[in-house]
Amino acid sequence: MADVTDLTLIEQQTLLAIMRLNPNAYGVSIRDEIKTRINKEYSFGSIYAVLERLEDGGLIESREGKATAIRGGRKKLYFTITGAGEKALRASVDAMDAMRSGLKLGGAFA
Amino acid sequence: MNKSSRHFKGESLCCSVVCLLWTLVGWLILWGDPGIGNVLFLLALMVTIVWRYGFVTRGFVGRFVRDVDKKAEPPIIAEFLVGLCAKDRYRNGLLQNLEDDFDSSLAAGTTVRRARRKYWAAALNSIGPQLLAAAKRVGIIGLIADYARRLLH
Repeated sequence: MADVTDLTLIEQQTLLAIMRLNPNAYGVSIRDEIKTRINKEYSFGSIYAVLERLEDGGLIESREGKATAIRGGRKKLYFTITGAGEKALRASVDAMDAMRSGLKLGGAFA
Repeated sequence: MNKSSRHFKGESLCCSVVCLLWTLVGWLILWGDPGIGNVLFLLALMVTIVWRYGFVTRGFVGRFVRDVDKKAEPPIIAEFLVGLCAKDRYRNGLLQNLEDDFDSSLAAGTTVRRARRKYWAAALNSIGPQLLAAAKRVGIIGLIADYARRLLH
């Protein structure tokens, strides 16, 4: 990642969801957490594309869980945030706070 | 047999058949009839590809070998498409998540037909971002942009 403050909105949301769900953050729980909190439903494809970017950037780590008992018994993939991930999220949120500081946000032009 | 494993009854037999097929292919191409050898080569290649993506263990053969309710399974073609587009590292996780949703729908009392339709929708929704990510990975978008830039100048 070029700059730690370069996180997109969905990357921020995913990182925050992973932090909240720790250590049980996997695709379904991440999507449900985002949906519950901000009422936005991302597809698994979008979430996994973000997870891939974050993992490639060293901001999260993945580990395989146990195989499920039903059907083929596929393994769940759990994600945890790394130290670099927390640092990047902090920097990104701080940057947003700095831009927002002193502004009173209301309705349109309020 | 451990139910949680991805292996199915008769898998070792299937494995032996594939190995035998490859041996036969090699023998036919080298010493026997090259025509039959080529046909068998394609057949063995297809079986290996399907095997590679884990759809033999979970899908086609598994359905015949295990005594399961066919209709209460996610659509195999949707699974195949998602599996094809997903990165190796995330394939199982992504498919497992889609299955989780499918099972939740069934548990919530949704009909199998509706649950399968929902699975298809979720699968198709997942393919787009995965393809885009793959395109970015191999730099296709950059190549197209370069080509377009060259055309405009």
